[in-house]
Formats: sequence, structure tokens, C-alpha cells
Amino acid sequence: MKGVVAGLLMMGAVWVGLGVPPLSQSVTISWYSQGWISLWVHPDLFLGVADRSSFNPEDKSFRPLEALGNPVVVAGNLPQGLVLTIRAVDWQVPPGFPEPVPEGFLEDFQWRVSGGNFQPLSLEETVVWQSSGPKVAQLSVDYRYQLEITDVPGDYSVTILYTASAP
Amino acid sequence: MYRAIIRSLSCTPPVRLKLVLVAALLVFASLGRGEEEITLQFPPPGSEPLTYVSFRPEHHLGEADAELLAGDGWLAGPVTTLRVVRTSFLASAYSAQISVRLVSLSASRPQAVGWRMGGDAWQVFPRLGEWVPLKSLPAGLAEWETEFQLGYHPSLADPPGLYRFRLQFQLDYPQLPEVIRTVYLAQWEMVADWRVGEVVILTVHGPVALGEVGAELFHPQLGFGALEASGYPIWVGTNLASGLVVTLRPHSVWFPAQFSPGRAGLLEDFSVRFQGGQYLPLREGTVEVAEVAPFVLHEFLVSYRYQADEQDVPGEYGLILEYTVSTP
Repeated sequence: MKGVVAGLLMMGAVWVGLGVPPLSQSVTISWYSQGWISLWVHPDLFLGVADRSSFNPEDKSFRPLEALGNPVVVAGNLPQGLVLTIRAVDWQVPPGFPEPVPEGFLEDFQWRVSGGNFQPLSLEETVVWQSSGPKVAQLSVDYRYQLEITDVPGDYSVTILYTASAP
Repeated sequence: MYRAIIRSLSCTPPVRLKLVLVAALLVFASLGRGEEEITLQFPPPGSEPLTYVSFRPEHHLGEADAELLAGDGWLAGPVTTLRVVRTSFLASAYSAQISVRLVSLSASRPQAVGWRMGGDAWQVFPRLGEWVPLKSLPAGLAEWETEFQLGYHPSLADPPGLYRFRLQFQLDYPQLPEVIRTVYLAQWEMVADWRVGEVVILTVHGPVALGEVGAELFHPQLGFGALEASGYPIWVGTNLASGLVVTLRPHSVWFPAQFSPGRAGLLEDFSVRFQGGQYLPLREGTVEVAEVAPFVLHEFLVSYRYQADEQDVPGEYGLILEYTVSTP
């Protein structure tokens, strides 16, 4: 250690002499911040099975399939803020599904954020949330599929794409 | 050969006493001009001189500064000449042994006193008063000389002040009969002095780059991580009995214009840890980080930490920290 110190002493970081004034030395600490965005979306969901119990004969209505309180976390440090959008990128319906696909199917699949109003999923990007500056947002997303009599037996699915970006 | 020896011994006691007195005067007169080389003859004037020793009796080593106290070097005196000339039967028939011993020292470490000849490695004294062989002169070697240098290996354990040591040399003829050996024994002395200054040492590591804040520092469930750099050394030491206090203060900071927390926010997220202790948040003003005992060089390993968050907009960040040591 003494050898190392002796070498460093050559840099002049010492004081020698009469009297004892304080001796100071400075050091620079630096770092860099990238522009970054982070997006985390809940895992895949299974909304359930529609069967006879989903139908209410009294008012001839259907109880929707729902998945509530699904977390989505979006964060970023960009000064201009963040935008989170949603859109459907893929879907699956049984072969005998009588509605136009995908429009007829997607309009029955609805979403809402943090207690807002349900709105149908679309092929177009729809803004889910946005900020005006750096932000960490924990969103709670509800999904609902509105059953109809035209929902023939089979497997249904939709693939949703969330996109976080800087405006 | 022995006739000469016997003749020397046949001097009456008053005469021998007189000769010793003359030799002492010679040494005394020479010490007044200690930085000059002198020559002594043995036996002393009045009898036939058979051994001449030339040397410099006083050596001023200078001042030990921080580099020496913190490092591993020697405070070396001037390079002088030690010369021995032997004549007559002593040179031709007898080997001689030159030895040296440390007689007195106004410091606590005899092992820090040393000498070297001809630019060789430094030799040290094992303990006070112990004779150490310096050179053997074989029979037939009439003249011998060497570059001779005295030195001290200073340490931070040496308080400030003036130091001095005294060496005694002897040139002995071990093969001579004991009864006459002392007559031809040549003895002389050297003294050396030096000064140790008041030394305060503060050596701080170089610049530290903490790295980059990016998306990988953010965990959706756990939140933000931190940039951290550990194990950066700072050395502090003094030979002042009072010891030292080490303080730290932020000097200046820089950040992107859109970094809304500003200087206070940056300092709030920055912390420093000494020697594996707790991280201390850095705020405006001076923080005492350590008390340092004297006479030892202390190494502190420092860690720096910056807690990232979403307010860290893209750009360059940094601060200049100022370490200060002072007496309590």
C-alpha cells in the first residue's frame, strides 16, 4: 500500500510544512442517464367459459366474461412524457362465428383503465394513458367480453399489443 | 615487524597520554568543520602512524517530507568518501576488520538507521550498540576507499522534530596479540542529523464513473435500483500527535437542464459509505466521515451510490466531492 501511496503522492496530494492548515482534495463522480421507457404487462388471461349459466332468461341478457384489475406498469424518464396505446393484433374465433371478423368480434371485447369507461378494442391504436413528463404509472386494466347469442361454441382469443412511446 | 610494535608500547604512560590528547584535539577541531573530510592517524601523532582514516564526521541528511514518510524511501545524506591507508607491516602482514555500531539515536527504531557503500543496498543496524562488520581488508591491501553514505528510513511514526544519531567505527587487527591489538585499534565517529517535518497526507482516488441509468435499473415490482461503485481508496495519515478529522462536502454538481429536482434533489439521491458502514446521504454542508489516529497511514475504502428514479432525464450528471483533513 505504501508504494501505491508514494506513487499517488507524486500527484501532489500532500501537505508538508509548519502549522497545520486543513488539506483538501477533490474527486469527480459522474454518471449518465439514458432516455428509457419501461413497460410491463400482466400475463395472459383466461376470461372463462360461457355456458348456460351466462344467460339470464328473465331479461334475456348475458352476463359478460370479465377479468378485472390486471396490472400494467409503464415508466420512463423522457422530459416530453409518455404515451401508452392499445390495439388488437391477432384474434381467433370458431369457424362458424357469424359476425364479421374481426370487427364484429372486437367490438364485443372491451377494456378500461383504472375505473374509466369501457371501450371496444380496435385494430387502430387507442391511447390508454399519457403523461407530460417523466413518470412511473401503475395502471389497472379491466377486460370484458360481452356475450351474444351469436357466440357459437369454440375457442375465442385476442392478442393485444400495448405500446409505450415518447410523443 | 614486532620491534616496531614493541617500540610503540615502550612509550612511558605520560607520553601515551599526551598522544591520546593530541588525537582528541584533532577530532574536536575537525568537528567544527564537520561537513569537510578529515584524516585521523593511528596510533595518534607522536608515534609512527601506521593507519590513516579519512572520512566526513558530520552528515546532514536533510528533511523527511510526506513522500518519504508515506513511501518506502530513504532519507539519504551526501555521498562521501571513506578511505583507509595502511602502511608498514600492518598492511603487508595483517588483515584488518572495519566495523561500525550505532552508539546513540534520538529516534525509536535502530533498524531505520543505515549506511551504504558504493551505491549498494542500504544496510541497517540490528540494535543499538552491536558491532556490525563493514569491510574486511586482507593482508597486502594497503589502500581502500569507498563511497559512503548515511541514511534514515523515515516513517509516519516519527513525530516532527530534529533527529540525530552517532556511529562509532573501528578498524581492528584481529590477528594481532591481544596485548598490542588495542594500540593499533583505530576508532572514529560520525554523527548524522535530519529533520522530520509536520506531515499531513491526504490522497484520494481518481475520478469515478458510476455508469448509466437505463431501463434495466427499473423493476416494475421492486422499483428503482441504484448506480454503485465500491472500493475506492483514500489514504490519510499524519505524524501530528493530535491525529486528524476527515470531512466531506459536495463542492459542485451538474445535471441536465430538464432535471427538475435540481442540486438538492441530486444530493438527496447521492450517498457515500466508508469502510463498509452505512451509506450516509450527502446533503449541503460538511459531514465528518472519520477520525484518524496519528502515526499510521490509514486506508479507507469508499463506496458511492446514486439512487435512480424517473426524474433522471437523459444526460450527463456528476458532482465534485471535496475531502478535507484537519486537526481536531
